[in-house]
Amino acid sequence: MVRIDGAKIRQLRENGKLTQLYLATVVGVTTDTISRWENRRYQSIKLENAEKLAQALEVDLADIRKQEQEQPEPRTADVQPQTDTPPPKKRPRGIIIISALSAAVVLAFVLHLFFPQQQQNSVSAERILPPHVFPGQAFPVLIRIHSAEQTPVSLIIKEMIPRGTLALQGVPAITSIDREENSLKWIRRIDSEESVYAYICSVTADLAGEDRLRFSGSVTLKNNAGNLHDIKGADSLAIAPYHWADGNRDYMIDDEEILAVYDTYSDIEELPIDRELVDSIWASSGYTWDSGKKHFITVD
Amino acid sequence: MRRCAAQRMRQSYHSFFLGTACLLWTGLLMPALLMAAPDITARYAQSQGTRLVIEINVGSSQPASAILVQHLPPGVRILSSQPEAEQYGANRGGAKWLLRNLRPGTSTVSMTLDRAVSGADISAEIRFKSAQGGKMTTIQVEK
Repeated sequence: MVRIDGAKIRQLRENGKLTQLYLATVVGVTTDTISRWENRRYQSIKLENAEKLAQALEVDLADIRKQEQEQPEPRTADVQPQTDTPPPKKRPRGIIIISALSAAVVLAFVLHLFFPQQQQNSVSAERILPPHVFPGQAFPVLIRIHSAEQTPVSLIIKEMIPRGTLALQGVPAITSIDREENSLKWIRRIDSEESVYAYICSVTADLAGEDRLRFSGSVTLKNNAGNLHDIKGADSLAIAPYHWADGNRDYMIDDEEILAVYDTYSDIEELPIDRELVDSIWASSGYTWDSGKKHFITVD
Repeated sequence: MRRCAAQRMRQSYHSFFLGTACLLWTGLLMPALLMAAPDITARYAQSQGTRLVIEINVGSSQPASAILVQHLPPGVRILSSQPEAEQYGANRGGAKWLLRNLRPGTSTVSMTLDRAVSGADISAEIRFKSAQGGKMTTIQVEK
């Protein structure tokens, strides 16, 4: 054991711009131990540690020893012989972390084998609707399909539209429309991750008593008839005396609203959403309903 | 020999922290900086006189559309513009263009005024919905 001068050690460390962490790493002890050495709570340490400490401080051993004593002292009440070099805990902790990670990987693999989820999430669909529409007007409906299938896949998109509405032009072209069932279908083969299906829906005037129009639909992979995916997203819109692009119902189409129109429908330029009317309402002071012509007109 | 070993250990110690700092920079800060890069930038190629020209640069993560708003001193009229302004009124103090189907690259909007203006009397901005998140964003046209 060697008696050390804690104050000297601290001074040498600070002069050398070294940290307690650095000394602890070199000697192989904790920073708490270095702190205790410097604060003279452990006045004697192992010779081996003292030599490493001197090496880390780049001084001779004599420079860190207590001046009045040049040989190891026997144990006294001030000496704490057994705790100046607590074993580093890094290795056991590291083993525990690696073991936990390995167990998690194995568990995930086993779960994947016994409970595959690939088929349930292979195709998803989302509907986008305007917030409202006025009776007698037409509005766009978007269905975005996301496919995680690695190969092209055939699918059937079936959309149920509300009574009192008519599905007009679709992009791509609608495969079939059933007016009795109020449904329309696309049967298509998709080969990209994202695809968009859109149609114009027209509201007939006779919707007395209705305040919302409700939609529903599903996507089925053609080679797996039992695997039905509901179309998520918006499933209704309000019947209200505003243009469908006038989101905040202030009888104007402002900058944010017209940008939303172009950002949402830019992928389907062929869809006849009457961009001219939308642009002219935006460029003017607003719009109003012309009951004679049965459509919206701009206000200058 | 003791001091050489200690020096080597200190160097490897510092290298470790330097390497960790570089990794953090690359892994955390760089993506944030890249995400913060603007979708659109614009500057006046000509900002005084009777002819104004604005250059608009669209980045790779461009929005589908944007609106250019040009503010003019009261009473100054736009005689002609390329492309045509969509919303304009001399009493409104400016004009608007709706830039549709944006593609990466540079385009220009030019306008001829009925009287000369100075750069200090005009300003312009571009409004768009950010491609990341759809937030409404406004940038000033630089002079």
